[in-house]
Amino acid sequence: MKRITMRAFAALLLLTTGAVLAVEEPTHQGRLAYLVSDLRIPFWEIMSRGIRSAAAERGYAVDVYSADNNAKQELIGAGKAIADGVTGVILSPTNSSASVTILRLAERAGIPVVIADVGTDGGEYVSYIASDNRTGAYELGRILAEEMQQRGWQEGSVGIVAIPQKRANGQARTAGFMQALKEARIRGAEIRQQVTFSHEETYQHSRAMLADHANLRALWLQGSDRYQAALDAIADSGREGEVLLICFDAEPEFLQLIPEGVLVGAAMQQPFLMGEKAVLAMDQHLRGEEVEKSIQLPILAVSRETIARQLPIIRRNVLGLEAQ
Amino acid sequence: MAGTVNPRPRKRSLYGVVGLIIFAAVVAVMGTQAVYSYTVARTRIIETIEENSRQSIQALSKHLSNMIEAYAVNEYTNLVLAELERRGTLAIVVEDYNMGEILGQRAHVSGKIRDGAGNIVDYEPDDPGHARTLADCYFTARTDIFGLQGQALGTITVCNSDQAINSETRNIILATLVNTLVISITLIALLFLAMSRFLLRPISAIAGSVRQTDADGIPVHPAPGSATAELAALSDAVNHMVGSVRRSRASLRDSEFRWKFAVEGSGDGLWDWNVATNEVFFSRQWKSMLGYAEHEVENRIEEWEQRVHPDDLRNARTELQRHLDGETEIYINRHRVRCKEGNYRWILDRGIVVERAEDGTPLRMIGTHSDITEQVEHQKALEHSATHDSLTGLPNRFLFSELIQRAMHRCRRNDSLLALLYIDLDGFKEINDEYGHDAGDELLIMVAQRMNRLLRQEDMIARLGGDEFVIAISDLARNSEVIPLLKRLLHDLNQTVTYREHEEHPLQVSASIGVTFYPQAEPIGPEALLRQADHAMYESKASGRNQYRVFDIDASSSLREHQRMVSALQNAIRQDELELHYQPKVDMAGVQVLGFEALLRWNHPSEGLLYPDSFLPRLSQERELMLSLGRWVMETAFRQLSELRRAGYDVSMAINVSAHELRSPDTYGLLESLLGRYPEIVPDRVELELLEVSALEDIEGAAEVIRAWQRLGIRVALDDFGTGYSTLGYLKNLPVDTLKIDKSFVIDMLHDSASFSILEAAMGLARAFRCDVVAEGVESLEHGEMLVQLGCRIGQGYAIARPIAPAKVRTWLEGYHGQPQWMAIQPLHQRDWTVLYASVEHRNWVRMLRNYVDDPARHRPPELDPLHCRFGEWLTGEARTVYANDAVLTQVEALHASVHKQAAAVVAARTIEERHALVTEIEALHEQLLKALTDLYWRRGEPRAVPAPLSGTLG
Repeated sequence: MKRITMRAFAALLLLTTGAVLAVEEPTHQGRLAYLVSDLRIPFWEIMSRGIRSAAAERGYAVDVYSADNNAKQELIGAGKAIADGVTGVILSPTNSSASVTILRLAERAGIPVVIADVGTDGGEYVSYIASDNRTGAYELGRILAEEMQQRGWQEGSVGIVAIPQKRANGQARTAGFMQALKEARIRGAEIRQQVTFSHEETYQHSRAMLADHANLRALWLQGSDRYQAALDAIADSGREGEVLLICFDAEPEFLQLIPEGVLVGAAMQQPFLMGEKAVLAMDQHLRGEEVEKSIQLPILAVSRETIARQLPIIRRNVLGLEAQ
Repeated sequence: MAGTVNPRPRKRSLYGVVGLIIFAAVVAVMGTQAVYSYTVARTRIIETIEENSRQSIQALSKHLSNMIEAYAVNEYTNLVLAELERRGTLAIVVEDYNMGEILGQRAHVSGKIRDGAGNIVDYEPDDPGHARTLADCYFTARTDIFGLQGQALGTITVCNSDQAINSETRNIILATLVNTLVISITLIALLFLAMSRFLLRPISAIAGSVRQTDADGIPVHPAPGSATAELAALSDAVNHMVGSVRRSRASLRDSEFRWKFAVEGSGDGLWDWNVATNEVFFSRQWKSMLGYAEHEVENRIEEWEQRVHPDDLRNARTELQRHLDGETEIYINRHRVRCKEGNYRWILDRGIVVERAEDGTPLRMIGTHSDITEQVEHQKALEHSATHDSLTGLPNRFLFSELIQRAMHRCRRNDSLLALLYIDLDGFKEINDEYGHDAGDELLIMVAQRMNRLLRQEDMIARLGGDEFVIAISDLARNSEVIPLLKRLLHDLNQTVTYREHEEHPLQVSASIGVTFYPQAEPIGPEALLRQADHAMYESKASGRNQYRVFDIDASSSLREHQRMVSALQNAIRQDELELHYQPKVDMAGVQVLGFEALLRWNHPSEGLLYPDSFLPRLSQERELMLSLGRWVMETAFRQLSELRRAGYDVSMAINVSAHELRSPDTYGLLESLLGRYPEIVPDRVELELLEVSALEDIEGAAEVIRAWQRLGIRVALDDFGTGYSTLGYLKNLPVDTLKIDKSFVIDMLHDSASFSILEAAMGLARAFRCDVVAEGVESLEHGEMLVQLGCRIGQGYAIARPIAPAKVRTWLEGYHGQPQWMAIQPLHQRDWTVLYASVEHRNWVRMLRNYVDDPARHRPPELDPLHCRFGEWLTGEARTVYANDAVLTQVEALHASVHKQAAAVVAARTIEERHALVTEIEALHEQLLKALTDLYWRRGEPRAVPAPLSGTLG
């Protein structure tokens, strides 16, 4: 577990320089550019590895341009990639609006684009590859419902600290999760949306819901990185052991916290797999094959009971460890 | 007249016209409104677009600066899209310098633009279609975008095409057209419905009611009423007009009936001449009048022409042509037309052109033929009796007057002499009184025959009246040539005459003859010439009778006396010694006072009131004096008439005019001046009376003067008609309005058949010349009765009123109410005048009997044989013809027989008392006989009717 964390950190450090990380490889099939919003975030870094891995397998060179969550930087990267005359662009934009501009610049230059996650508000692209958030959230909801029923807490309610619901992935996650609770006849207590994604924000939302709802028996975080703030809130509320915590996405620590029962479970996206699928779709397009416009990748719903069995997949597709 | 009927040009329907007007008006108004609306809307749209462009620029530039600085290209692109969609802009183009820097360009150009289909697409700077669209855009607004530190970030350009304007204006046009169409249709429909409801339908209803006509083309139903005042007025006017037409048609039908009745009743023939084709329709009566059957006369004008007497044809044609040429208002001609049996009938042909072409060419003429044969023959008989003495058959004074003029003219032309002999029988009155009128008449006949035998064919003789004769011997070379004739006359007239009943006592008279010659040193007319002979005759008689005297022109013993009279009358005018008295002239059959005759009176300082007869004849040759006197009379009479008219009396004034006034050119001016001075006097209420003799000397000049007076409106009368020397020729040429029959005839008419005959003849002449007749000398009720019976209604005389002093005229007018006895009298038909004649004869017979009873020594009894007295001759002759089988006639015969039986008893009576008693009985029988005579013509005649008021200007 520790090893996984260290390797992840090492990868992250490499990407935070903001520089273009060009990998000199034989370019039989051409050069691909991966425009990513922020390579410092592990999810995107794991995805970039999946891209490189798949590109290498198919003979593509890959230029990675991290925007560091900066719109100008993102456009500079896009401009440079286009100026360099790349064969194709794999895009993980800073937001769906920014992707429109990039798609338009690429279209003018005649460069095909495959979008990996986040999505776009418009523009022409080859394929859009994303996680099946709704199904993943549904499966996660069932894990929580089952746990609450086993504990006899089915009368209690569930509070939700949500990512912004204007995002399509936020809406899909809430819908799938709430469907599972509904089927189990468990009530939702309240939804509070994150804005700054800070520790403090998550903590305050959690504390507020714990205070407002005496029968609150579980908290669901739609993100993974601020799970500690939620744990702190439960502890500070004096309701440790009385309120369960479950998260969407994954952190390396979860491989330990889930078996320990600190977390009831987590829904884990597969960024490495997504990177691979992106290159595969581009390759198919460049070869003139038909490519599905929208490709949904499954999310792994992991609980204490299933984690041991799902670990090899988690390691490769979620954490990108086995491929390195 | 048959003919082709031209097809009536098709008229536009009022519905169509009104509809067209309404449509045109509404379309014009709405079209103007639409153009105005379109212009305003287009201006407003352009302004709105420009304003939108400015607002877009303003809004975008504010937000775009932040977005460019944040490199939020999609955001500002979305903003541009939203703005473009919201504003309907054609294109919004953003130049982004920051992006340009990133991309290695001057600026990154992006934006949105509408393609040809109106879809919003991304703006592509390299797309030539987009570039063209921007270049062709209607309105462009551009501004620079600056950052917070003032650095240039880019530009923004907003473009608007006229497509939007056009689209909007198209929409406006479409909407306006639709609105205009809808409003127009609505307005047209409403206006048309209103027009139809309130105007056209009522008019159609009126027209429809007028179209439903009867056989005469007159609408059967009245035009319907209407709620609107104007159409109600139209409807009323139509109904009023239809009513008028219907009444007029009925009146016309009545008139046609009357006309038909009149034509058929009168027995007149009718002709209808188509002048262009010369075809003539002759009525059945026309043909029948000439003895032809219907099929024996063709419809050609020649059928008439060839039957007209050759002597009359030229004149008839001339008159006809004058009328056809428009010179006369009506065609009137009297001519003879030959009948089937060859005899001629006198026809009064009257006609009028009833249709002319536009250039005046006559097309159709209609007229009548009246058979006036009996009238003409009667008139001829009248003329003969009017111009000849019924007793002797010699010309009377009328004819002689005409003949003497011709003789005088012939003498002047031949430069020969004419001797005029005025003969009066000495002792004739005594014979008349002793042996009766019949003996006197017999003597006169014999005397006339003896004188006639002594004369040459070219000489003339006439009986002036009573025992006075006149002879004109013409073509004498010297005065002395007449002396042998004078001696023969004296000798032969002094011979005895055997009267058939008194052969044992032959009648004997002598003659006193006055002679004068023509020409003389001074101009002289027939009247003066006759007067000279008359004067000489008196001198002869005064000198012991049975001799002749030649008028001595030079030895006028009365010259000094004459001068004295002239001075006296001149003085009388100056001293205001003259005055006018006024004798009323009335309608005897009614109550109407028609007027007055102004009669001169002289309040002589020493001789008292003088009548004009006593001084005027001696002064009549004094021209200046007569003119002065005439002027005074006229002015006085006009003043009196003016006063009467201002007092409300509508009467006329007759003024006697002398020969000098007739000839004086000043008279016309005087009349004109007086009419101007007294405007209340209607000219035709003034009548100037001329003595016959005044007009005779220059008949043409007199006629001209009369016509001039008549043109002023003044009427002219011929006074003392019958006593002068009137001739038919003069009467024909003198256009007088009235004949005044001399009182001498009127006074004697009751018992003197000669006077009655003269009166009858004079009235016949008056009728022939279409003059009014006024009888002077109406001195008794009997006179009035007989005059009314003869048809002479206007009279003046003592039985009505004596001449009235000026101050009493109005009092008299107020008190006059007519004579009831006259008002009950009905004018007789001319055929019944014979009864009047008979009554005159019987009155004369009774008068002779009375004279005999009163003075048997001087008078002889009248004819006692009822079959030989004149009344008896009438009773057994004409009366039986005219009144055959009338029971009254038997009664008259019985009365007449009783009268004669009593008369015989009178003659046989031994005592005066017995005779007087018997005469009184006879006079009673006489009255009964007169009454029976009256019954004779009343029973025979038509129902009596109240005489109608007189019409004509005299009234």
